[in-house]
Amino acid sequence: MSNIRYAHMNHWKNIPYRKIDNFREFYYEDKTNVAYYSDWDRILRYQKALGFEGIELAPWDFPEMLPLFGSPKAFKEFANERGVEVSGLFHLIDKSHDRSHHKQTFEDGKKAVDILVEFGGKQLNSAPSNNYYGLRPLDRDQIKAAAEIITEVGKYATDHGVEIGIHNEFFLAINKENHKEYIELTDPRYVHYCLDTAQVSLLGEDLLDFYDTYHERICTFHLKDTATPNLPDEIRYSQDIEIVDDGTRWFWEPGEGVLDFKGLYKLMKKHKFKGWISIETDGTPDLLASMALTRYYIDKELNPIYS
Amino acid sequence: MKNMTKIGFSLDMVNVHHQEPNRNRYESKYYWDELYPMIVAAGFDAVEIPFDPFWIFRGGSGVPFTKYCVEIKYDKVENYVNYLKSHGIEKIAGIQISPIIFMRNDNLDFYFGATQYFAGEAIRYAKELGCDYVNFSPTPPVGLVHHYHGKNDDWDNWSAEFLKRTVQLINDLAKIANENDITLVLRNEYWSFLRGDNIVSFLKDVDDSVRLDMDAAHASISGQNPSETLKNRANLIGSVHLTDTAFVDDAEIWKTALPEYPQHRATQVFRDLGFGNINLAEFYQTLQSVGYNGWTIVSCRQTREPMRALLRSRSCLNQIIQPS
Repeated sequence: MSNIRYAHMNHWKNIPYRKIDNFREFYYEDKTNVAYYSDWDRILRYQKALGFEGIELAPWDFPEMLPLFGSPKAFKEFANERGVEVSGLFHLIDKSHDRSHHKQTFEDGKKAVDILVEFGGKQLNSAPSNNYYGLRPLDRDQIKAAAEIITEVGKYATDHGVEIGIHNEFFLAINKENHKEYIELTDPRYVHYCLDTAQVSLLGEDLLDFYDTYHERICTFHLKDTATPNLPDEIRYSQDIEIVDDGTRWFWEPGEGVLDFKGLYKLMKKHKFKGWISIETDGTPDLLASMALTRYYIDKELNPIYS
Repeated sequence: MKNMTKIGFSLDMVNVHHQEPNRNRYESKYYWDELYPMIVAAGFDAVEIPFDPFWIFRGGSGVPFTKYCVEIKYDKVENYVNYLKSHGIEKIAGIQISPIIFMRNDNLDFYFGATQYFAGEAIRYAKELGCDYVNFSPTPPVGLVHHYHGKNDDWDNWSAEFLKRTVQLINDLAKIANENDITLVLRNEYWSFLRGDNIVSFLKDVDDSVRLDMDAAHASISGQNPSETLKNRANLIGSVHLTDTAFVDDAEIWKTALPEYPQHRATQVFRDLGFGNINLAEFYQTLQSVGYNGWTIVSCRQTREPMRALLRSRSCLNQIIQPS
């Protein structure tokens, strides 16, 4: 049994069909590759074929997915039939810095945990705050407030068999200057960490040093590369910077950027990491190509180190 | 007879919500900067813009589908309008908005509250853009509403109450539209509670200023002859959508939660102009014969390639528009 199970973070946007039975007919209507990216049956088969046996979902999937399948349980069963299980769910701890909003934030967190349980998943990977732009640097009390509310959601999650993992992003209000302070203020019994390798590197952390320091907190990974670690403040703090006007990409497939994944896997071996790793290729023009490229890199470069 | 038809192109051809290779381009501003001159190169100097609040919450302000996005990228709405003009797009004819994004739970107060707020925003934004109309979908798809509210024992009574609140919603929006010199137009979609002729009787219950949209493909899928329907409603029309389809709804797909995607047999419901079965030449001639002088918007909302859709549409128009 492998220590690592690989999942794919869902960035397919809305997939409008459950299963296309008239595939050839549909293709011939316009003879484009849209037919190949329009039903969950094929999307899940691509995942299974490439060895990604988990799918991590996000709230933006639900407005079409739930009416399409009828319920989280129905999607879970559909995916399971194709050898894929829901590994986790992305979530935002909205307005975490603002205690006056915490009641709603907690309710939102409960709903996320509950729906994840219905999907059969375990990892609630949660952005710790809203964007830096618009909030400016959080003061000490706001950072404490953000840590308090994720801990509260974490208690609820733990009670329901879910691990909440802090998923920081390079443009959030919890940023380079207060990232570690925030982690230390959360309760390690209830709040874990989802290490997004690219996001943390873009933020300015040293990936290997960060993992070595916080390995006991890290429950899962988002595995992705970047070509531009240590972004300057003026980029990380600017408005809506995740998607850049000129098409600049922050995220690349492992091996296509500059991060030291082999070093990371040596540390995983040292710390005996066990759990889900989601590959995430947000920003790619071709999710299937990115998935295949990543699988090749994992098999050839990373599995020999630790699997 | 002099050709009075004003023709624009809908930016709904850029499908930002569904997966396909290269879809990521649509979220960055550079894509749109490249697109605008292509619209003009294809012979269109007016556009209709979807108003899609998704891009407020998503942080993807490269998609120019809300005032929020435009103000981030161009500082002021006026600058965006001038930018389009400098690239040959002389007019933003109208905005289209659907409340479908707010039908996502069983809380009707949320649905009506959010719809009223954002549709009001869309109307005020339309004024700033210099639009003539706002095209509003009066209800989400019946099947989607049923997904969230179908557990109610008496669906017929529940639906009647839902439509009563919809009347109030539209009257509130009409007031905002009137204050801003915008014509509020109701889109008659084949999946709506008001599909087919239901919308004509519904129109009698709302403010007199409210007009109807005439969409060729939606009418056809609802089982109507688009040209005949246009003739019958000529005095009620506030905007027209030139759309094409080959889809025949023989399995009551209109009742399903995702009616644009027939689950029993996948198909591209809305085809690029000229690639469906609608007699667009006859439809266009009917527009002339009834003396329609408002906007006619070409929409290829499920196209597989926007740039190709532009050229296909121009090619089609070249065939159906007779020189005056």
